[in-house]
Amino acid sequence: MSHRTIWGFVFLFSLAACIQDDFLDDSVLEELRINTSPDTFSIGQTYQFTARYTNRIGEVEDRALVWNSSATDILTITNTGLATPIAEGISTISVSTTITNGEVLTVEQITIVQADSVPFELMRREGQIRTTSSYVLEGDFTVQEEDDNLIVDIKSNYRASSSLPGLYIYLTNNPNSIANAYEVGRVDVFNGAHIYQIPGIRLNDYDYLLYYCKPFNVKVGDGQFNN
Amino acid sequence: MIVLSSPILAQSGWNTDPGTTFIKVIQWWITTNEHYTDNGRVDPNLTTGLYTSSVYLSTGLSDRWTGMAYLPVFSRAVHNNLRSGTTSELIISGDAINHVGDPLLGIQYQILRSRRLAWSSGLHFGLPFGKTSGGTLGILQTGDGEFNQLIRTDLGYSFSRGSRNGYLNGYVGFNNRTKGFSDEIWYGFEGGIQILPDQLLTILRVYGITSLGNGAGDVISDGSSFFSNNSAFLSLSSEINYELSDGFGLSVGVATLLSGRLIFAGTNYNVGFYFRIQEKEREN
Repeated sequence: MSHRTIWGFVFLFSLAACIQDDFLDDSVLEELRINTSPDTFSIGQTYQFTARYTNRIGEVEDRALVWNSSATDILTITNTGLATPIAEGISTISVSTTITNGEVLTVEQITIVQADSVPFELMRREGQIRTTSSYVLEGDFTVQEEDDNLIVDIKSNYRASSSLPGLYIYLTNNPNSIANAYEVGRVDVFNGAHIYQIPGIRLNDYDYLLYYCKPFNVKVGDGQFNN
Repeated sequence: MIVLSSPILAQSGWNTDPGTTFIKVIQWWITTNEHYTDNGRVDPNLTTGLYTSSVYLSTGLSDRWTGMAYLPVFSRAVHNNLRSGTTSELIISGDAINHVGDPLLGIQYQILRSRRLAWSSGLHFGLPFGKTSGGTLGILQTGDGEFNQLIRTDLGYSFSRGSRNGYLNGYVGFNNRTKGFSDEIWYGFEGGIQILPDQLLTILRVYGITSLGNGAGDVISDGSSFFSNNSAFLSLSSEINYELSDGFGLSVGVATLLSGRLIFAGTNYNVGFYFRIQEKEREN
């Protein structure tokens, strides 16, 4: 058998090694959320409400928003979301936008106005990490802003399989995909409490932690922010 | 050395006759979108492939000594594009690397050879010539980057059924791995019988690797699971060898995992051809 035949044989089978396409089921519900805000205000204490719309792949998009107050004699709110408490009582703040299929999506937040001064509490979000694979991954966490950093505080009940090669953690609005996600870094703690300090990310930029195995290119688990 | 769910080492209880060189050119490949996790379950992954063109040769150095080499002269690791099923937008770009794999060089000593029984032992060295981190994401590999030493002993038994010859062979080996990788126990059993006398040989193999789990805890690879630390598997394979002419033949094989840990699941295939060169032919 000649060398040409041998290398032809090798080349023929190498052709089979072509790059093709895999498709990820990354569809999520379009979502509109009022960013984490205080629920109690004092009279005259204005507050800028903000909201965020994410499309069907969890990507943040600018949308025309309509703000409303259910009791304008208690609290008024402008088209840009600036709220002004006027009198004691309860008002429901709502924000609406039109989504892809033409329906109007509305979310609400109950607000209380009181006469006494109300210091805004440090806002914090929390959730539970869960496995979505056969690998062990679990634990509680909280997220809060500190100076210009986002602090992801993984609690002491956290544990993850250390057997998994190339495990990374992301912040995302789509728990099924790392597209449009923020890569926090490689996971090198597999048991117990630890902290990720992330500069330049705000409390309401993302709604999920996502654990992702790079070598396998597959999601391992996630943790939704509950509030 | 690579942990492939396919026999890359054709050592058996019998040595190669002095003056004879056996050469086999093999194309081996696997494409899979599943892997075995650390608890033995099967999870999905992005479709990944490994394609290896290799040359295996054994040559009889004397009545008792046989030299062996497995040379993966071309290895291609590849993973697919990952696209959004909603928008078809590209999420992860597909990638591929082409490189050599990790070769294996060894020597075998015939301890005992009788009419039916053959016992031999061998020492093999896995050389870290493959690529340990390649592609845009650095996750593609054609080798594990560690130098290992495998000592293995084989016991074979031959038999005849009429005009058909057959054999049974079992082995056990210890693979000492470096760079913090866990050592391994290799084991296997195979049987072969001629369907057509001196022309068509079928082989059935069961073989596996067990990790001793004694590696360094900080060996965390970013690479694919063909080369993970603490990989283990039990595999079943069959192979058909068809002798076209005296000393030249074709070989086709297929293997699947019966169980595994931290290794890609799925069926792998190999095709190849082989030939034997006698000393007299070389002189001519």
